[in-house]
Amino acid sequence: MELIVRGLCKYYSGKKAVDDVTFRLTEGVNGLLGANGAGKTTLMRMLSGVLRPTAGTVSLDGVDVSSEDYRAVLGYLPQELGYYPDFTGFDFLMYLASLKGLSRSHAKRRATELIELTGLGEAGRKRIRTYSGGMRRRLGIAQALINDPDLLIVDEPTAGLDPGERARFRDLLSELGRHSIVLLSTHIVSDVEQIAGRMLMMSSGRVVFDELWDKGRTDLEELYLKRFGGENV
Amino acid sequence: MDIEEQYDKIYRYCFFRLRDRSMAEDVTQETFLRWLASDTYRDRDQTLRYLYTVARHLCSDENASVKPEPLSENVPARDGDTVLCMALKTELEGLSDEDRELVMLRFANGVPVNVLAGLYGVSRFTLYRRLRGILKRLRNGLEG
Amino acid sequence: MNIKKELKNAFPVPAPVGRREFLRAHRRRELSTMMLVLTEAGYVRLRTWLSSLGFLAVMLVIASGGEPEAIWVSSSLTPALALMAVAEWGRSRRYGTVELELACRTPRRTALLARMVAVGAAHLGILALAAPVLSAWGEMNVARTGAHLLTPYLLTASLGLDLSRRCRGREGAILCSAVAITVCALGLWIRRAWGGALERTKLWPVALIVALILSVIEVVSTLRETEVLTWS
Repeated sequence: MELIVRGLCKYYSGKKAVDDVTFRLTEGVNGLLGANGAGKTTLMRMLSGVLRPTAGTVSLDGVDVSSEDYRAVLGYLPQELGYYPDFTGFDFLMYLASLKGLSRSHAKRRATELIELTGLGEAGRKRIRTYSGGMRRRLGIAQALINDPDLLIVDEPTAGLDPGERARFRDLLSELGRHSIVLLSTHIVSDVEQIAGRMLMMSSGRVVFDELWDKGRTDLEELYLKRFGGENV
Repeated sequence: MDIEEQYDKIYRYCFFRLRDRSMAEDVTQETFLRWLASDTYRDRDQTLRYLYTVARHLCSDENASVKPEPLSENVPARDGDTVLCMALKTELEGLSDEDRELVMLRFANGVPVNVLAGLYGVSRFTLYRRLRGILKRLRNGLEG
Repeated sequence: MNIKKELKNAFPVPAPVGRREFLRAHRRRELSTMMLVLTEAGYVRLRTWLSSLGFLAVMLVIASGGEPEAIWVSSSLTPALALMAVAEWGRSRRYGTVELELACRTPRRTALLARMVAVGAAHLGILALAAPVLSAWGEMNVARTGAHLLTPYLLTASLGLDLSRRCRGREGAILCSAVAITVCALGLWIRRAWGGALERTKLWPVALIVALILSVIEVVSTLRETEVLTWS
């Protein structure tokens, strides 16, 4: 499997939010680091087909991002997770599964599996408005996985989670990376340092670092600060 | 139609016929490839009938070309298999191949009666009667 | 012993090896368009369905009074029905699920259209049920009664869709409500100011056609806007 991004740009009234980004990703966890405003979210949105690029192409095994076939194998967890407060977690998963084209019985099976896998358990039958931030994040990852995606795009998934929950997320993403391309955007170094096989860094809309990463390395923060100095991580 | 669910059921049918995991998987995948390639619109029952018809033909072809061998795959007994379940399995072995296949398709795979009737080329009434007869024989065997 | 239940598990098989790869390589949409419409209908809030039925009940009660004003009163209620429809159609925007829906296999335009069809068809059904009853108890024929019910509904729905695209969140909701009240008041004022004179003219089919055209324009514009995120 291969995600190829070529010359990707997004301009907003003169401002270059994403500027000529090119990279190639294969199976495994790929980290995308950058400060707030570096363009990570804009990039993630273009890779998910949510935002149309100003220029450039995105394709997964030759399938363009604008095609239904691309979205059929895509799982996306946005930074801000919208939800219907009156829906139960289970209902929400079923609803999104129907939009992803799953039959009712297939959706029910996956929703049940994922509620257990993400540790929601009994909470799956409760209304989302009663959920904590961590539970909503878990629901978010469950909906991203419901169609067993080949490409999983996760934007700042651990924001607002406690260290225990963050560790669980890392383990889950690591496991998913064995069969899928996972692109994880974060500004928390420890989210990616131990699980990513490739590291990208963004600054001012450009990818300024794109290298294979040895999971044994512990100098990611140092490397980042050395490159980007005063920018907040 | 839930493709995953039907894949597992067609695979169970193919394994039942071929008694070889690898051959059963190949036939299952070939069955689905033919279904995916065929352009005709079919409703759920028609789709099931198509899948089982193709699987049945492919299994017959495999059986014709390979000399039949005893069970080549060990299917481990599950934990919690009671004496009664083992007795049921023994009774099932006592059925004819056709009857055993019918029981597997109806009760393990949940194939609707009208689809089965179409597959076997009999009326629904005949099929119901046959299934009732088989169940009665199994119950008698277990109680006796 | 439940023999049928036992038979379900009486044919164990060894786990297949290439299953996951095969299924992932041959994904197919499992829901037809009709099933999508029905699924969307299933996710419309219960209170929308109940309120819509409540409207039908109120219209029928009004009709049974036999008053000539019944059609005008019922007509002035249909903007509220339209408001419910606009609220359902705008649910994704209000609750911030647009981004999630855009990343799904089913094009968002298709999903929204399915939702519009589900709610719109139900409301049309309600108006189609109310029209002959109101006509039987009133002074107008069925077609004209239907037009009097449908025109304010379509007018409110189209203006509501337009406002929903321009204004977000609470502001949008308030403006849509204001539109519904305005259309309602307009209907009552037209009845009061022009009364019998209006019924002698052929203005009512013109009004219906204008409302239909506006609705089509607004539905098409709304669907066109669904395909991308419209804010940065």
